[in-house]
Amino acid sequence: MKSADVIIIGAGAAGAAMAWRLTQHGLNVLMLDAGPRYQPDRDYRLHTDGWEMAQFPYKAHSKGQYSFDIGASLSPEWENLRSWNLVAGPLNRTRVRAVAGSGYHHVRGIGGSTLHYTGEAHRLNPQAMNLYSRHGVGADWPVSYAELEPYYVIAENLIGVAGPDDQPFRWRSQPYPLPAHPFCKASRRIAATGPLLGMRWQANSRAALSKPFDGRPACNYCGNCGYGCPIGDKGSADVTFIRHALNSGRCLIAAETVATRLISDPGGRITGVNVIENQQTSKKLEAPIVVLAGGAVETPRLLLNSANREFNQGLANSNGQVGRNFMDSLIWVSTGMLDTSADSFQGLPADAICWDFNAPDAIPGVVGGCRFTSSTQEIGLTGPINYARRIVPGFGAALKAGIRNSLGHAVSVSSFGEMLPNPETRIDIDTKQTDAFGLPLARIRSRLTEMDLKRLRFMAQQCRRIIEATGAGRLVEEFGSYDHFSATHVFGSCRMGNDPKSSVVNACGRAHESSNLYIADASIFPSSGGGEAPSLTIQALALRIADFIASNAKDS
Amino acid sequence: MSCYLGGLFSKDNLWSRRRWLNSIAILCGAWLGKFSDTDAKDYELSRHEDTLRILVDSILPADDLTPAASTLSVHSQLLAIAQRDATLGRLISQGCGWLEQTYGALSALNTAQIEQLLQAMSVADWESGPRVFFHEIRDRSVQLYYADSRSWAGLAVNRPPQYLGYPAAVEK
Repeated sequence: MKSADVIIIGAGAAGAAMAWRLTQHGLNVLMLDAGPRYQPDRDYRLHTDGWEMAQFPYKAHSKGQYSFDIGASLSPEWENLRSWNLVAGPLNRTRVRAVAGSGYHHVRGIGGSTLHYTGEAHRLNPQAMNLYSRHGVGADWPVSYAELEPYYVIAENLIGVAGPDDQPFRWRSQPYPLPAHPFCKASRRIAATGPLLGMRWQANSRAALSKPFDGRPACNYCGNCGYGCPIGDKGSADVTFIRHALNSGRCLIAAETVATRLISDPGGRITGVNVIENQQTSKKLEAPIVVLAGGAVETPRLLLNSANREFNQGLANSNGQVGRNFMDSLIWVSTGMLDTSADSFQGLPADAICWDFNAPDAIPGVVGGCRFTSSTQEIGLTGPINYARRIVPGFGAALKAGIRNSLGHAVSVSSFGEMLPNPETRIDIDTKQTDAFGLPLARIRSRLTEMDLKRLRFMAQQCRRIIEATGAGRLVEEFGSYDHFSATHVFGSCRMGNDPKSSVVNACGRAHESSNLYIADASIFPSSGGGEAPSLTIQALALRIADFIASNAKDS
Repeated sequence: MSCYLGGLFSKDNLWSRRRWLNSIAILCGAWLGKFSDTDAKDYELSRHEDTLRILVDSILPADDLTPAASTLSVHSQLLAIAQRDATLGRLISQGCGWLEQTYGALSALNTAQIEQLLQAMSVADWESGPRVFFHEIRDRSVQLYYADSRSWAGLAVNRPPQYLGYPAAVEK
């Protein structure tokens, strides 16, 4: 490859789709990522005895460092939204919200967080793209669903998405490339509650192959997408977009290469990217176009850490909008224990979904939607270790018998819900904490509003109703966003909009203040949607932005 | 502190009532505070191996189908991890040290007595040393135990998920 036409920073969902599309347009691409490469058949452990303990193999440098400001006081009013399980009791015994695990659950690496994602492939509800004009909250998208729709089709066809013909709200110009997956036994139990509760369950659209496709095998329903798919049927970015980008001969990948600073001229044009390779070598990379695709936490961090004399608040941030409007998703999971086995460790995670409450006005009394999904496998209840650690209490013979008698009986339902932007929830720079290279960490600041909590309460109540209706005699675990910050889907911190005063990039993803700087990740989402998984929309947006970049490159 | 200790006074108990009463006082008083992760005193983990072995075997005993935890070297693995993990090392040192100081060698207790002791630890205050020690050893032991295929007899999941998967999962 000759010199790069475009440098892409971040090799996750956005960067991968961007790289592939640009190579299809004949452009040369250099894609950087701070994390390592993964080799599925070597790195993932699902074929070994220690599979359940190994979980997803987070290699060295595959996790970023962050600081958090999420410590809101917990109120007795919302006490029934506390997280707990039978083994550990309350999971947060304090009176303030806590960070769950690493808090921001992501992977740095070639493929990014798609390496450990479940692989739901959702189109955004078009109604969720007009929150401000329809409901007076949040912001409208400057891009319509109709403009995105052709790009959804391209992404679905490249990934091999398996889905049903009749998804509500989202019109489509073509059917899914692959037929939907049948429900597993546990999901059939959940779907059977639909008539009782007035809910319509259907097959989820999934980036997991229901038939062999594009040289990849069909899913064998092992139930553990989140631990890394060793056979390659899951449509993570490495085996889809990146594989095809590399096959073009026009894409180079630099793993373990940390972008530390964007260099700009006084007019805002990016003249270089400072990087550190393999934890030690500093160098400056140059290309006519730079695309940020590091996600809604790292992308604003890089812009803010790139402040210079002319742009002393950070690049693309003269209006102070970089880092604002950050959103994650509300989450609630309830798990019950059935009297008889549903073999619930088997099957495709999140194979069943209910979109009934997905529209922004679907939940009584609040704005912003949610969706419900079967989730027993997704939350890791697929083997004896997680049963023993979370939902089968005790010790001795009773513990061992409890594991034997209950494995396969757990049934879980989760709900993901919309979070609206609020002034206290944003990404900024922690001036007191730095990473190994001396760079200030991103600080994740998050507060839930009264409306968020009402939405979360609805999600929890509905999950409990569903579990009860399955016949599960008792709840054994619940987890939610009220007392824990636990973000997998993050959005909004470099909002896309037509008004340069209130947004960071325009409808083409180009920074208002820089003619050659684009952002293609979920940081540009003006709203999060009603609980949809974002990866497919990220990829559709990135493909669309790639077309603008390529079009401009040809013109110039 | 909400210790459940009633069963300790059964007729089968080899210890005297007075000694058990003393031990209750110690259990409820000597390690009432939180586990201290900052104690810098030197500790020799290997001298606690017997205590740890009895503990993990009480949490995961042998039965007709599967071996006890120590047969799968769970206690040895815990000690090896503790050599690299200073927090776990301190916890094992404090927890086993407390048991040995309070009850002497656990090998002198019968099964019922050890079960009663674990039961008391398992329902002590969440922040107390005994509860933290019990919960952490249990949590780590079940991971090491069920990561060994010799523990899988009788379980519905008795092989790794890949590469066979569960194709029958979607058959009606």
